[in-house]
Amino acid sequence: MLVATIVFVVAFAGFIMLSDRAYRDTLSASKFDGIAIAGTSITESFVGSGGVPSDWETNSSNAQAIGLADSQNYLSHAKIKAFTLMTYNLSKTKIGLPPGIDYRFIVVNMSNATLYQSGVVLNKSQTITPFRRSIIVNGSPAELRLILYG
Amino acid sequence: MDELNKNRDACRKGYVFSVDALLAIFVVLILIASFSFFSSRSKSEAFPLMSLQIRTNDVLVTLDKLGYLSGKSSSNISLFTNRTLGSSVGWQMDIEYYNYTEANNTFKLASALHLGDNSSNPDEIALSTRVFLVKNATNVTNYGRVMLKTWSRWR
Repeated sequence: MLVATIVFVVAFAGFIMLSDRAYRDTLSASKFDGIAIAGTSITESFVGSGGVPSDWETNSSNAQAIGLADSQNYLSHAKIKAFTLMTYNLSKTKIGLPPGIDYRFIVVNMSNATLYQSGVVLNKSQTITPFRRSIIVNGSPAELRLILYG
Repeated sequence: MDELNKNRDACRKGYVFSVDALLAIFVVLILIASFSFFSSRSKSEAFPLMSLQIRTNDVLVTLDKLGYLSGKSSSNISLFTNRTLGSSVGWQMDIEYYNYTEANNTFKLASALHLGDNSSNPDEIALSTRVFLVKNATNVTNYGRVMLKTWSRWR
């Protein structure tokens, strides 16, 4: 009876620990999936569309959707500039970032020199998910980097 | 004497029950551990390949728009692709340039480039193709087709 009780208690504790870990893993995977979908969708909008309306950069507060491209992967200097000059909270709303997720936006040239940047740099230990897209800006190859913190 | 035997039987039954319960719990724990391991694993592996596919498409679009594909320079194309994809990604690219004959309405292979790593045979790849034009000042001189295959070197 004593042996059975000890075995039961140990097994039950093991079960609780495994269930808790499985729950945490699922929660973490679900959050990661959300960030991955958001990052993929936002970067695709950046490099694949000019935004709505197409001249949103002339009045960025009226932008319905942010796009930075003149044509596929060929980005507009004026649109990038307008995006980086937007206030952080407004830009988060316009790109459709889910609550609780922050971003850093960087465009670097092939020598890794920063051409444009906006967003925040977080010091907190949060999950960092980077997204990279190969682009052309001002007629030269460059890389767009969107880093999401969740 | 009978009392003693009854006690011994009871002890034996209790012991067998304990072992039985232990084995059952062991099996259940293994099932739970296996389920949690495989369910979290499949989700985390779904995105790297999608990300690689997007980067592969990007490389072909930018190579075309920068004029590297129509320039037919192996070194420029290889340098750009290596820099863009980075050392963690293996790649192989086949580019074919065709001449179009209007009289026969046919495309004839004029030249081809085979770039990247030809020795690898990865299990999981991202694949992208693109058709492009090679032009001089006024005319189309060649029609081109490029296929880029990429894979992660860390798998």
